[in-house]
Amino acid sequence: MIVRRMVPSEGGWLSSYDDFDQMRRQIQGLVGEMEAAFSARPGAGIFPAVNVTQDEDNLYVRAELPGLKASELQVTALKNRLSLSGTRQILTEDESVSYHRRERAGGHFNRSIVLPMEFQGEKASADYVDGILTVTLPRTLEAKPKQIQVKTV
Amino acid sequence: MEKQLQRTEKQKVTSSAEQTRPGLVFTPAVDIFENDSTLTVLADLPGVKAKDLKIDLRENTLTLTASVYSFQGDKEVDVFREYESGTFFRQFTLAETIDQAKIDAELRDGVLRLRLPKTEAAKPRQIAVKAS
Repeated sequence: MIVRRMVPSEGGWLSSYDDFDQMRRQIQGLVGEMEAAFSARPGAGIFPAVNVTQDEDNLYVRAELPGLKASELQVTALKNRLSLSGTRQILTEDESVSYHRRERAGGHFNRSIVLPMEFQGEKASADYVDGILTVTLPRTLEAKPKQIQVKTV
Repeated sequence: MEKQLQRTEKQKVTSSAEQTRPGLVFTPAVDIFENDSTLTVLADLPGVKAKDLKIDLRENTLTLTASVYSFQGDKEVDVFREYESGTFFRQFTLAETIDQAKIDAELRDGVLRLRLPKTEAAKPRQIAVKAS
């Protein structure tokens, strides 16, 4: 009988029970990933979709907003709440043209996001580059991670 | 009352034939219109820089390919994620004869405006009917 080992084993021989155990963990991992992919869509479909990231100093909120002008965007911050609003104008071409496709949508939007921590709203900044809005929100001192020294007695 | 913008999911390309590179592929939303002299394509390509956009026209097939620049810093970790980014890809078959030398593309704030002028032969002509 040929036995093919799908999972490379480290540290010597595994019993057949260990193989099953490993497989069970892998399947659990996959199911977990799948569930995360389906449930990780908060925001209830309000335009625009945002991605929020953080590093040690700042929170970053990014949204895809192609074809706007910086002056058409309003960003307001209060405590741990951030609002993005504006109008996306799709200019109608002159009347002599005939349309083959019309997929780009225009209109007004207003989205308010509650962030998981407070930030220094007065130091916040917003950049609009290549159709992507990036709002940088400096974290408050209380919200910054602190390194705690471990002492030995 | 102004129209409220609705959020639409980005169109993911699922065809296996296009997966020559790893990563996600999206179909950009476009407006296509024409008048007597020009065919114009407007495409929403957020996060694309001019150098990363490829426009290719051969044998009446127009191909747009654009890779998205990563705005995220190295040390940033996700708090929550509502949209993904990846390559934009879309192909069109053009019926009109396009004057390839005069194609003009402009990318501004994530919107591409592609002007494809028609050749003289493809432009409609008014023929004056003479009365004898």
